[in-house]
Amino acid sequence: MTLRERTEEERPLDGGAPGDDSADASLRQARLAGQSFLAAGADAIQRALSGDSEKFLASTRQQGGQ
Amino acid sequence: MAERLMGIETEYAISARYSSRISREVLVTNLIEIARATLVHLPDAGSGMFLGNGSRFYVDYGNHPELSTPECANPWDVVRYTLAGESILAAVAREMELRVPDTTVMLFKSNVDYGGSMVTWGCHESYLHRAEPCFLSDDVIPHLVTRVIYTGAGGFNSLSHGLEFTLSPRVPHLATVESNNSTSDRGIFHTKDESLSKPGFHRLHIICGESLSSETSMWLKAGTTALVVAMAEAGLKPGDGVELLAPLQAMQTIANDQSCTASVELVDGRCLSAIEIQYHYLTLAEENLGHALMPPWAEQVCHEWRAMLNRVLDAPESLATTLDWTIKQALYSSHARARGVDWDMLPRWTPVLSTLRYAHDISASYQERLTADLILNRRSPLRDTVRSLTPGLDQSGLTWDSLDSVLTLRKELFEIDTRFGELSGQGLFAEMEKAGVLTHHFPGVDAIEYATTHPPVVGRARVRGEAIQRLAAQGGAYRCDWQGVTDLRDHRLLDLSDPYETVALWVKPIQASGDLAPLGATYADPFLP
Repeated sequence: MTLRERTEEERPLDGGAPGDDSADASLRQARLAGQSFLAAGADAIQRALSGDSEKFLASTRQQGGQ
Repeated sequence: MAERLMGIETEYAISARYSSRISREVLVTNLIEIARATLVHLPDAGSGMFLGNGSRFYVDYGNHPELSTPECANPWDVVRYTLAGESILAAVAREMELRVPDTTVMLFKSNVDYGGSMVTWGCHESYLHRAEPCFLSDDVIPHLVTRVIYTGAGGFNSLSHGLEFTLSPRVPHLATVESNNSTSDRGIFHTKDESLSKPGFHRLHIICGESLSSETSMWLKAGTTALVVAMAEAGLKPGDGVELLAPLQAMQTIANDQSCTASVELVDGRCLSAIEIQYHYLTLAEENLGHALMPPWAEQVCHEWRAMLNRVLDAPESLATTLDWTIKQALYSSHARARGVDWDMLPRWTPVLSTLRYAHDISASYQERLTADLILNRRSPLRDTVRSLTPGLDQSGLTWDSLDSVLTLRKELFEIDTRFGELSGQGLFAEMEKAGVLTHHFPGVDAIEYATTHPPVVGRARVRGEAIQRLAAQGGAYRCDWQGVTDLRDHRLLDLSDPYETVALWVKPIQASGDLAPLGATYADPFLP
């Protein structure tokens, strides 16, 4: 099995070696993106919640399909 | 290189928000009637219809509106036509809201019910092939079991009284390894072989997958599975060497493992992780890219497949905004933290909540809501159960003080998960997409709006779609199915039993018995210019 062959075009997961300025910047950028993602998710969740989840789930109850 | 045809059929959950007096049966009937009035279509043999883009819209078992994509020749089209179908469905729902006062139609891309019915509905895949069907399961099952690490919809085990996150909420509803049933006793491998084509073709019908929101997940699901089927058809025996000892248990193990590191046992005694089994399939595909049965896009699938597996192995956190289940895991665990509940401790609550639920169901208070107050108050009918559970609770590091938060979180996350894939544009996924915080797009998946009215360019879907567009405007009596268009008035058939048909040829009259006369004589399409 060839478990770990990499291809050149693969998306980079980090910006460079540890301690490298570009790596630090990349890490900061990733953290900011993560924070934005979670903040947007929290907002979306607050908008989505009906205030009575049990009632919502009962009203949207489905029958079995395939 | 070979063209490979495939498609997706998706059942959607439907509900009316403000008009609870409207039953789902009436709701779905109205939806179909409005679709009939507003969409370019020809009727099928039932109450559904085939649309001008070659797809099919109908109502399936359990009153779920269902859309089948046309036959697609590549994974880009699979995603494109799935999304086009959702755009069509959402538009019909909006039209219904205009026509039926005080009704808001909610359509959900989800596969399990959290409202107590403990049911599931499907997102099925079809892959056309010429392999001997009885030999296919050994080659395909290990792939289906392990692909959930990138194709899982994420969600919760709807059969559990606890709050158990799973990579694939469909998995708890699978009862066996192989089965011909699709409404009960569902199997990982569905043995139905209804080709919907002339003899010589077979259709692998997969029912263990789920509807997805991430384009990357959808694309990989179709692309990788099509390659596995191609390798099986080529006689490469892709399942050799990774045959699972207990496929159903292995799938449950993998679906319950958010770290994607769990190993499952093979018949040869080795234990491999889902990633390792996926690498096995991938490596074989890479070694056989030049095989005549491989599609022209096989190399790109392998490239993306390898990149995905490497990310799952090396940097799973980088997938938090890409795959359905990873997006949900990140969001839901964050919401749990906000509610003061430790996400990693949730599995420990499952036996506690199960015991409480059972005790509640046989108590005098069974009709009341199961709340922390009901459970913990001094006169609770469950006080003996609480007393018996307390030592184990302490040993698990849990406290009764957290019970209210856990029960509230459970209901909230069920509601949130239901609304994740809501089609109206107000679902969680859609909201986050609008906020620009997701990285799920797949390059080349575009022209969704165009695909709502135009069929794919390859195969019989194009002939079908173009015929529907012409004939729907002509009046007359036509009926459509996957294998052809029947002219009921002039007793002719546009024969599409060859899935690779490229021209519209109308064939001999239909005999009085309803059977087709032997094919041979063809008639020019009278509607062509």
